Amino acid sequence: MVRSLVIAVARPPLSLVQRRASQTALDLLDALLASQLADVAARRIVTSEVAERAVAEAFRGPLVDAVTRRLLESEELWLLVQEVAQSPAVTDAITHQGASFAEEVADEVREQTQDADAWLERAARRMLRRPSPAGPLSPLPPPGLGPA
Amino acid sequence: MSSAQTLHAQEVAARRAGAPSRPRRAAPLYPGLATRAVALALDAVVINAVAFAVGGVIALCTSLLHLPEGVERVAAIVGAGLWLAWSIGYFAVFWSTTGQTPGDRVMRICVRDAHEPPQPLRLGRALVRFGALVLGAIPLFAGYLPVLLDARRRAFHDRVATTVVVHEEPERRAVTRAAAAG
Repeated sequence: MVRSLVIAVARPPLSLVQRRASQTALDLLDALLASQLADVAARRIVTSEVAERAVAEAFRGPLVDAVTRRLLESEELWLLVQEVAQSPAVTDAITHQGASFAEEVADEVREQTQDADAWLERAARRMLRRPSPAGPLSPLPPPGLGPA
Repeated sequence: MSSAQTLHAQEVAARRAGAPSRPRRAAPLYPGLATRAVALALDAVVINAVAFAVGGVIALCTSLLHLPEGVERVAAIVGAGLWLAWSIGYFAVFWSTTGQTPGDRVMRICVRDAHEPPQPLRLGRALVRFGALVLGAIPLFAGYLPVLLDARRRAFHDRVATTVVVHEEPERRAVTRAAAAG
């Protein structure tokens, strides 16, 4: 009876102490994280050999394999991949890249054949000892001579 | 990704980043032998690809019917006639409408009446040009050799049909590209 009474009287102050202690701890942690000390500590941990070893160990271990296997088995991942692949932005980009690549190739072929045109003409004229005319090699057609 | 595609992607990225792209030279007024040969080769690819595809489907279908040999011979002659008609029609229609076959379009050249002012070809003239092209091609494409020496780079069939082959106008190219870009 007396014991129960003591517990009942003592409980509220105990929980109050606990709450205050927790709050203080949290405040301390906030202050610690806001300080430069946390930055320095985090940088040292990340750059330390221990962290490197831990990461290497994690990659060597079965965890990565298991995660990868589960990811590949998950239907959601493939749905996501499918959604991304079928998105208009991706299909547009692929189409545009394909078209501009074909255009680049055609430009290159045209340029090469123009070189070949001039080379063949020079060779033929040299062979037949004919002077080269100025007419066909003028750079651009006159305005009226293009397609209607 | 192939190396050519990689190079292209790098060039596109460089262009987006503001780097100047390689300047293209202006085309001469009249296309020469190599350009015209490539255009003709591309047209030959298109014509034969379509002919082989259609002929292949028809041959597969008729193979199920077990036709007698005489009928097969007639079918082969009819097929050859259709191929010839398709080839003539291909060149004649493209030359007399747009002045460009698909091969010409790729090489950015077009066929024009050589008279002043320049006009698109009529169908009759296009047919004459095709006939002369075939005649000039029979002696190992010797009909194309005058291109090397003529001041306007005209081949035998150009002289016969009084036509001339010219490069597309740059302004038209710009308009076409702008329209394609939307």
